Amino acid sequence: MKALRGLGACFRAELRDLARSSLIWLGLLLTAVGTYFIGKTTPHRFTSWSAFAEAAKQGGAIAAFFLVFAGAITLAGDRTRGTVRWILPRPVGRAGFVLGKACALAVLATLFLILCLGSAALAGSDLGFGDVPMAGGGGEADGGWKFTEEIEQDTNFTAATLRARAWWASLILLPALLTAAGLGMLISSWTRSAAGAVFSALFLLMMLHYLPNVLGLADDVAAASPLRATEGFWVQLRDFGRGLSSAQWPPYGVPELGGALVFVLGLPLAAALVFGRAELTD
Amino acid sequence: MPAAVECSGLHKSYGPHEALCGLDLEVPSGSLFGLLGPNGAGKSTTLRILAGLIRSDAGSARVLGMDVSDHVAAVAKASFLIEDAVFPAHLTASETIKRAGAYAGIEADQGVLERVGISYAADRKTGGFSHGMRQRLGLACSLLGAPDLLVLDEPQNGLDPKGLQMIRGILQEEHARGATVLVSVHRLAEVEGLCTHAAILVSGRTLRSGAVEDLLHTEDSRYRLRVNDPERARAAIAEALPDLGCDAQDGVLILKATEAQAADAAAACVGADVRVFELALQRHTLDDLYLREVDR
Repeated sequence: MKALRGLGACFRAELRDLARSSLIWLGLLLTAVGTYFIGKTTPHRFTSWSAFAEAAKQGGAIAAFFLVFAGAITLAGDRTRGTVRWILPRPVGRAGFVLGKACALAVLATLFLILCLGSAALAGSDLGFGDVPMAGGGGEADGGWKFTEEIEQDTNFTAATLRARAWWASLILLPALLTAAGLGMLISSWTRSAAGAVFSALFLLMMLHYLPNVLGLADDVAAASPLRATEGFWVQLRDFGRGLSSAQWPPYGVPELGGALVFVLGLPLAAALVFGRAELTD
Repeated sequence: MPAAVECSGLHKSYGPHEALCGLDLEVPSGSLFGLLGPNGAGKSTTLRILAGLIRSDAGSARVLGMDVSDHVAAVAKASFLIEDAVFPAHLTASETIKRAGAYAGIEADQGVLERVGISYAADRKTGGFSHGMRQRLGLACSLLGAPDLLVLDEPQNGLDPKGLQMIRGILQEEHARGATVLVSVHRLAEVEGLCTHAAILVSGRTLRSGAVEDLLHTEDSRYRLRVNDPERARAAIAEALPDLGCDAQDGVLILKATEAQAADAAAACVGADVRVFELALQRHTLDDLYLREVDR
């Protein structure tokens, strides 16, 4: 427990520092405005759900960018500026120092989430949030195999998918945002430069986004190969039991909610461990 | 009473450069201890290890009886000002004090700003502070909670003469309060006559350490002999005490002699009709000691 000493003080201090950061206010503003704009202008305005899902996904990406930045500068910034030399010779455990910052970032991520979902809901509200008003009626996904072109044609499937996707986008957004912040913190725990930490975190986030897509695509292509032999070059999408494909529901390439939670819990702890062993002066 | 700081066989390397090579150090409780040494001697590295900012490669270090590996316990009643003080730029001096208190889990007494002479800037953001003001604020943070051990790494950096006087006053006050004060300096004039104990570090090792009186007391004592005619006096001394070392500096004779030999030399001068104005033991200073040890 000694290692966690000072967690509360670090949490409150970090929260105050974040509240005074013009960059964070800019991020909140951009997320709110950007999400609303995307929800209003997306070509996927079939229903309020589709507009909401698209806006939440894209707006969440804006929020994630700022949270990566906030996470990266929160530790590396203290090291670069030299403020750790002022803070850590006091009876503050290093784990408490890192996790206090992580908790403050979690509060910030929640604020980004509320703003993002609120703006997305506002953007889609003109279409109504009732039962999915798709031409051809609503209904459940058929749960079978679908081809990409068929999805656009199958109104039942598409309607259910869009609504479900909106829910998934909402559910997964918080872990995704926390992951972004945690990733920034983790990287900044082993780099001395705030700029290097931001760059590395963004690069890794991009890799995390694209890697599952690449792996999923390879999997899909392999599964579709017998069909391709008879049906021509169709890309097959695998059903996950809710009418969702791997390409549809994870907004940031983290394939499962469980995986995201591992990141959420694991990244700040990993950062605390790395930082706990770090040399903090030249 | 256990030592306030104990280091034994400390080793620390930065890549190929060995900053500490088996450093031993003992700071007695209640002492005002000066850590002296040229740049690169290992003073800051030692203090950073004590503060828990870096870890030694080998050896042990204890602060107020606690091993530094138990960081929170070791620094609970100690206070550190390591290198040049840096604070969150958006905080005012007053907020900085408050936050320092929160980190340490103690009540922040804004009176420390008055004590270090920057109460006039209490509501100004530290981002606009000069180097000297930041040093004063760093010292103010270190004084919070009346620590049992106060460790200051070159606190005089960036301070004007008034600031230097303030530092000396605070060091003396804290020492008088009963706190152990460990201060690292490379300008000896600033701790001369102030420290009760000192250690001289060179190339990552402790060359000399102990009470200042003991360090300054040396076998090769020297006496100053001021006379009206140095040349005649020198000749008289050479005749009476042929083995005695005698140099002239600015019209004053410097005798490398024991107390009895110095008295004999003065008597020889009087015997040769040379008027003796002064015979005094030439006290060594920390400067002498430092330069001699470093040059060795």
